[in-house]
Amino acid sequence: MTAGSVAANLGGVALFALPGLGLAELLAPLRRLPLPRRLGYAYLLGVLALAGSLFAASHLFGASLRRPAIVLLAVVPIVLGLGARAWRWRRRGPAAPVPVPGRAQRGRRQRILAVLALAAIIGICLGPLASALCAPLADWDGRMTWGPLAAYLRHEGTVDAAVLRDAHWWVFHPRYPPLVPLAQVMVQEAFGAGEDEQLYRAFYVAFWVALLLVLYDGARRAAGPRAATLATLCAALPPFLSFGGGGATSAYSDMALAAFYGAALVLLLLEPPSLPGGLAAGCLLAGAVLTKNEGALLAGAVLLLAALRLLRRLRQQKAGSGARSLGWLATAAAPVLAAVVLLASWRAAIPNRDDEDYFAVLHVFELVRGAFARLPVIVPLVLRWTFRWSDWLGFWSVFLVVMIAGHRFLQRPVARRMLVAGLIPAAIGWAAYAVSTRLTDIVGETWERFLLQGLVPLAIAFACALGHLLRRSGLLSPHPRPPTREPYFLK
Amino acid sequence: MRSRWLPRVALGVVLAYLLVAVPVGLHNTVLRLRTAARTVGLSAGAMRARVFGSRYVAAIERIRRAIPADQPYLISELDEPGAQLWVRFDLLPRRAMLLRRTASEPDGDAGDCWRQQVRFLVVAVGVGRPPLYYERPAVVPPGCPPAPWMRPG
Repeated sequence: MTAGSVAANLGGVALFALPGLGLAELLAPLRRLPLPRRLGYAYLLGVLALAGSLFAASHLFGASLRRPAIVLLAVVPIVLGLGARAWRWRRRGPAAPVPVPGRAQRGRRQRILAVLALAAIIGICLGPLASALCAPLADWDGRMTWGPLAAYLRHEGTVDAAVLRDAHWWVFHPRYPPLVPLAQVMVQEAFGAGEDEQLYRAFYVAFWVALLLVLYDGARRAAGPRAATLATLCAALPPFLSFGGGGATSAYSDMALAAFYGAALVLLLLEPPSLPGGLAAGCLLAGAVLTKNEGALLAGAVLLLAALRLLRRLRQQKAGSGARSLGWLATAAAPVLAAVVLLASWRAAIPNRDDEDYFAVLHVFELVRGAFARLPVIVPLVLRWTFRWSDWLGFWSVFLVVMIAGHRFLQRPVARRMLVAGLIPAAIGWAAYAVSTRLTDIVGETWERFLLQGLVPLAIAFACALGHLLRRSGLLSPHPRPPTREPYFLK
Repeated sequence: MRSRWLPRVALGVVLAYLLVAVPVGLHNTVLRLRTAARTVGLSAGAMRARVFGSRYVAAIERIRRAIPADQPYLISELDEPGAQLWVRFDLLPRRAMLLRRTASEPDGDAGDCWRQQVRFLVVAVGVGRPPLYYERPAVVPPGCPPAPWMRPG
């Protein structure tokens, strides 16, 4: 580990965070968040905007995956963001503080607890960062799938690499969505990484930090700061999330998918509907689509949940708000559609190799039969991996206890939706297990990653239950409800 | 007024979890930071040698020098499944072709046409064990077109 490699790794994070902050300046629901809470969304938006744009430019116009294009793509959002900020400042003067969803007054004891929790979370996150900076990549999927994809794209300078398009070459999962490997290429190209220099490792750890920031923001909106702090601390602790296959130190795409999915959920289910909010959520969902195969299914599920929320609002509100709400949903769906089309176009020229093609073998009858007939095999395996002490330190046991003891939180629609959203990745996994030809292996390889994919909504539901328990316990002073307004989503 | 014992028990479980998991997490961090401190100033190659073993890394270096980045190679493995994936990663971005033909290849004959035109063969012995490397005559089989890397220019 040299000073140069550490600086380049951190520069790789800034390569996406700074343009993301520029984009956040253009989107009011993100702009009004305090910087730490904004940063999580900004990082994810930056990854999507830069890597997604380069993906489209390379595939559609033959742009080369080299430094000039990368610098251009990074500079544009930064300039736009600075311009928007300057324009607003000149028009209105320094921005007055805007009420932030979930912001509340805190007592001295609460502040101390919050600082201690923050210190613990930072301490936990330093572990994977240190590991990523000093140890070479040694996880299976990173070396088998995502790393090779990035190396081939970088070597050929195009997303339409010949090695992917010719079935004679030995490539695992050549049709997997390439957003994260492409972002990895951008880091390596931007900082001129040599053959063994893994300057992209902090870029992966940053997804973990972004996920925690998004989780905290969502939990705070839904359950207030005290429960949010506690829930975020609990969720940050399982070693699997830091060091497991799919965790922060690995080069898998599951952490990125979990962050994209969770961030979009927060903006679509917890943020008042608006066109900028819908657009931001849609971009994050597009990120999910371009990150993993499951992303398209998760994006569809989020849009469905948003549509249910919309129906509920339309029933409650006066006529006239329907068109605006539909516009919100349409703005969220448009980037998803664009991502699906782009991905399909890219894949069209890439033959599959020896992978299991789930969609080809997925017939409703076999799916239903497998889902039930295989229960005696699936359930013990799933339980074993869910409650594996070395990976989770009992997190899911605590989760279950809190959810059962605080089950009254389910009276709130938002909590129910978050719980459903958290279970969707697990349901996708279950469907895959129902038709998989190598059941035992695949449960062991994937189940914990499905839990990770649903972590943000599950932890927000956990925070809602915790908030309920904290209020009921009488151990702490009554928590002041979010003061800005009684959020409509709590009704 | 509702009973408070159930919320308190549940919060007690959360507290017990934190009392166990926070020290474990911080201990993990301390271990990683200590390892990181020991690697300060080491190059990427030296760190690879520390983690994967100097014999493995030296063998990979030899193969990298022998196979140009735009040349393909054949790969196979001995008994340990997955060993060839490990080696292939370290030889990126060189393109690998499996020594054995796979069912998914669109045109088996064309695959054989190409295999015989590949000069290099790498055999993965096991994860972390030095791979074997062979060079062999590359010929264009009768009736086969020259592979792209065999064409002049």
